[in-house]
Amino acid sequence: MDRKQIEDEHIVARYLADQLSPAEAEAFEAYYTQHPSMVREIEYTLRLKEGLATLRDRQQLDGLMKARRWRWALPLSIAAAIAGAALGTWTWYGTSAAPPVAAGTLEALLENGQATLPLGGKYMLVRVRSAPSAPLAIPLPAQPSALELQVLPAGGAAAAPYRLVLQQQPADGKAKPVAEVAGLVPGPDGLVAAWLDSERIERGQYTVELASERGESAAPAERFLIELE
Amino acid sequence: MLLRDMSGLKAQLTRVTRDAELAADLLQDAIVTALQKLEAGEIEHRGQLDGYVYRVALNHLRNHRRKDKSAVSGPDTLPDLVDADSENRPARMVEGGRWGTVVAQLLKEMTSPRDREVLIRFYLQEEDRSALCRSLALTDLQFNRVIFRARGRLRELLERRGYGKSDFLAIGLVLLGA
Repeated sequence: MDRKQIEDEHIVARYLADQLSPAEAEAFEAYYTQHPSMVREIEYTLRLKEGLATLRDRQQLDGLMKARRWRWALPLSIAAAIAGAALGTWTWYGTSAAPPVAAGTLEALLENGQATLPLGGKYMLVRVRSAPSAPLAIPLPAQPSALELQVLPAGGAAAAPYRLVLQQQPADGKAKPVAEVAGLVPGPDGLVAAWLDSERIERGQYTVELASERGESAAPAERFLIELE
Repeated sequence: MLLRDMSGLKAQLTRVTRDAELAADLLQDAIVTALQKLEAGEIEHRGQLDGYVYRVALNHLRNHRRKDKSAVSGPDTLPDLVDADSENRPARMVEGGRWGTVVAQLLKEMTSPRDREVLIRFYLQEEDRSALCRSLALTDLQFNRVIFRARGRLRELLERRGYGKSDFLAIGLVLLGA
């Protein structure tokens, strides 16, 4: 048994699920006792299983399974996109062919054949009671990366879904919309997350506004100032 | 003595045995057995100690799963595998909670509902890979792609949260708790 066979045949998961023959199990045990790096793979798989089981215990798994859209939702979303275009309400403020500056999932930034996008940083935007404070400084990574923005919405899950709007704040004071991400739902940790593509966004000050799509009555909009540098 | 943080192993032992003390005993037995093998020269070098601990402990895990039919994998039986005493185990809850958060993020980032279903049915419900592929009309290549991407992303998420770097820091807790 070698690493390639272990990966190709999903030996770790099948071993933990007791799905290997005695001979296969013995061969795998012989391998991982000789190769400590494989023990880490086993440990990570155990954590994945435990994490899934925890979500199931908390009855959060079904919600996550259905978090995006139902099977029949794709035609509806296509129709909605066409209708949106007809009304001139673009989600992205650029050319129609331009890839997104921001998205509600990391994978959504990987459109147009892009293979990977490493995480360049994670930033939590926190409300403060005091007067407007200095913007949160976010260094743009040297390499194209995804930047994760997290917000703990005051309205919680009850006011979901949320819409995040990113506006550039140039020195002349005329705000310029850059991106808008709709349909955001807080995760199990209560945080709403969105990702920015560092390669498609300029340096400068921006406001990040998170508002309930159900209106101000559900939860007041929250605004944050960030500085990409 | 440095051993790997085995909290995932311990959590699964606890889940299957439904008894935190028993799980700790089984893990301690695995560590003691491995140390005895090391002293007896049956383990070539200390770097292999982790593997032996996992080997012994996972055999305990397997034996318990086989003994307890309710722990056998399957979509119909797994929902019953709730740890009834979990509220009395704050340490495990914290760890499980952390991993639950990481896995929830992983699932949220998977844009395809089918991919999420693959992950859950393969790792949690432990469905046979071939049957799962047939059920979802997936080729082996598609299945592998889903799993490899998910695993790679999980590793990244765990390591970004320091679980990789802290692998060797928490062993004191494991030993004390065992």
